Amino acid sequence: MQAPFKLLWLVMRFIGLFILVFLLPYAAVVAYINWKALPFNQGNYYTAIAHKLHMMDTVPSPKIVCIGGSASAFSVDAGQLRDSTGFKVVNAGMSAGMGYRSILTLAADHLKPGDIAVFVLEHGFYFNRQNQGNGDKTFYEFLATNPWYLKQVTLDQWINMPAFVNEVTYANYKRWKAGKVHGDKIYRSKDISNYGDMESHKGQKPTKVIPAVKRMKYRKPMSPVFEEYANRIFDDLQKRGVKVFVAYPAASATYAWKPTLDKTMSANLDAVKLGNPHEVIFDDTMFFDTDYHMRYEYRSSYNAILGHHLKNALNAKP
Amino acid sequence: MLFNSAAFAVFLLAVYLLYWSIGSKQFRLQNVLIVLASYVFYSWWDWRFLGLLILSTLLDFTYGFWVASPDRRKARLFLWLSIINNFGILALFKYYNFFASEFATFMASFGWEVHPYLLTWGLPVGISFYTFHGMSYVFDIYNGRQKPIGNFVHYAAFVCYFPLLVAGPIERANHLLPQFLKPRVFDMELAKDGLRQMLWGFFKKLVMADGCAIVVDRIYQHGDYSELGSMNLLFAAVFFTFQIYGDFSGYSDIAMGCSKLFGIQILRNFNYPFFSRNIAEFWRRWHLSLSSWFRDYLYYPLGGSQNGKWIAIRNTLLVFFVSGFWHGANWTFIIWGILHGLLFAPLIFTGANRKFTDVPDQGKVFPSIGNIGRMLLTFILVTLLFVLFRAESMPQAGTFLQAMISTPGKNPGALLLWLTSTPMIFALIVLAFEWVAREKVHGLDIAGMPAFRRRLIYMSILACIIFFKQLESQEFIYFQF
Repeated sequence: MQAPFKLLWLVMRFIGLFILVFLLPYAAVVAYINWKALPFNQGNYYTAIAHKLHMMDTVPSPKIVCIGGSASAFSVDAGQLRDSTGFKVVNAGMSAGMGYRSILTLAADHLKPGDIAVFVLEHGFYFNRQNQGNGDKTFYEFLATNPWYLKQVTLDQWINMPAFVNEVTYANYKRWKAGKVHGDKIYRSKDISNYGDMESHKGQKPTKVIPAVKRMKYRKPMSPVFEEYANRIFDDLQKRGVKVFVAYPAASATYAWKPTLDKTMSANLDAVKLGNPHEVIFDDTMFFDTDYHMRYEYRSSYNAILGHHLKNALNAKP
Repeated sequence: MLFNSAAFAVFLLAVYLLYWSIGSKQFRLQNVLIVLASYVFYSWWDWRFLGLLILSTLLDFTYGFWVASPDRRKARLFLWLSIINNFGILALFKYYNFFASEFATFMASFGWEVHPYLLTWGLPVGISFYTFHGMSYVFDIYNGRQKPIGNFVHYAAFVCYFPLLVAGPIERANHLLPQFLKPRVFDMELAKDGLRQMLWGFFKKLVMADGCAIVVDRIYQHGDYSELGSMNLLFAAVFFTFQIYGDFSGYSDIAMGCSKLFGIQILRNFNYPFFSRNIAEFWRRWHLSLSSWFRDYLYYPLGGSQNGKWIAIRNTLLVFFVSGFWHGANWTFIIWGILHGLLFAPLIFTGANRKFTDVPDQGKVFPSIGNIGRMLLTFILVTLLFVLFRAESMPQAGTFLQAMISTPGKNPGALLLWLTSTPMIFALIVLAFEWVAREKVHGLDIAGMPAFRRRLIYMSILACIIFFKQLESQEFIYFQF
């Protein structure tokens, strides 16, 4: 063998050895721990997300599906939107921490021809990652809870997985050893309605804004990387006969800084935009635990506006 | 095309296979491949600027013949034309907006409102590097150290050789060019060392530098520095020093390692600068290719140190001023350069600038107490000045430094937090490896180690890259220069 090619052979042999000696045993340990922890994760918010995806398969088309992060999960009222538009509605609001790519990719796989997708934006555009839209730990927590979604993981997400796998696996290891079911008073699957709305905060007093969320001050428009990816998905959906709309998220007046709202909510998306970001800014008292999670009782203000725009858009001639 | 991208991995493999398939006997054809591959590599960023690269290459190639003229007056005329051409390109693409804005500010101070036309096409990647390659060729011909090359492809391979095209090291015609004029023989040991050096470079960039960058960006982008307190700001400054070192020396290691795969040796750019015992030694160990370029083509022609200490100090200050300006069209870089010059000047005056030319604590496991103190002092000075380098403007740097000094009692817990943070641990690992390897070319020069231990180290480094690689990988800082 010629020397330059022998070098390639040596490199491949080393990589093979690395996979055999290190990566495969490591992956086996990780898989085992997360599998043992599975029973203790049932009922958490990530199970609820899987339920929502399942609803998208079981609720017959045509239907309206509101896709987005937790702003959508908390603010959308599927019943009210159904009444104002006449369509069945699934609130598929997930968790913005999963990143826009994960949310869009997961949701797109469950939309059927004739469905109406309403993509609810988030302030900060899914944490404003310029290079990665799918990087946050949340997505891998979702996978650890719902491993059958591994088949939908993209190459980027596989590459990013090592950065989170240790943290997620360690948390699951502790849960498994303690024999403690993952629990949260608000973010749990049993309080998701049959149409995906959050109901756990019904009648509850608002809590303090989560400090980490309060610190987030987004002042940038949507990332071009985001726009390109979202437009590719929208285009694909439209070709499949899915109507796509973009809606603005409800947010508190203190949080959404009005002078820059047009900039921070600007996006070059190839879909009809419903209304404008200013009309869905509400009083601070109408929010629950963060400045964009609406209190259960106040959702009607947001849904009246969203329903109105959606009805008009659906009735409008193409 | 970033070194740390999948596209580059495919590109490198394809070029490597083609290059050695052609064989060393057909080295002219190998040079054609290098030029084409380099143009593809460059166009990956922005194909529009490829024309500028080719134009700049053509100009210096042509000037090479004219500058070689036995008529010294004619040669000098063309030398100056070449300088004007090269600096003209730099001035237009890199400095025009700076001068135009400064002119407007200056006029405004007299009450005259001026609205100069500003260029919006952005800075061509690597412009400072390839223009300096070209100038080195013309200068070397003028000084009789190099003969003009008759073959444009060989010359273009020297100017645009892809491992060093966008961020150096800044090569010298009399070092790199001769390597393109003769067959390259594949050297297995050299190639293996290249792979080791690339692995080390990737570790420094992806794990150390990008890890530090997250902390640095968060702190620098924070609006209120006084709220953060001295400790946080101090660590932001320290982490930036680690970041820029990991970033730039990591890039240089990848470039050197990559070049070794093609049987071509390029200049070393870093020689463990954090083990410097004074500022003069730091500049003999940091960005060597730029320092030696300025030394040979600016400092020496100005008279160097031949005409007394005061002239040497004047020349040194001038070199540092130009060096600062080379880094970017911003007052932060200029002041950064001048301040380094001011720290350097007393060493010339006392003769201490040539004091530490040996390997620190050669043959010893640990540095002496005295050397630890000297290294720390140098590190602190360099770190403080890097605040200017990182800041976007002088007011930002001023606010940062002021808050660093004036809020010592705030957030004392940050000391333990940052000392035990992942970026700090990786920075210390890099320093430990490099201390052990300080007599060698790079930190992972472990060819003499038993095979089992060596493989264990490679695997550990690879595992660290896989598990600790930052999701938001940063572009290499020096691309902007």
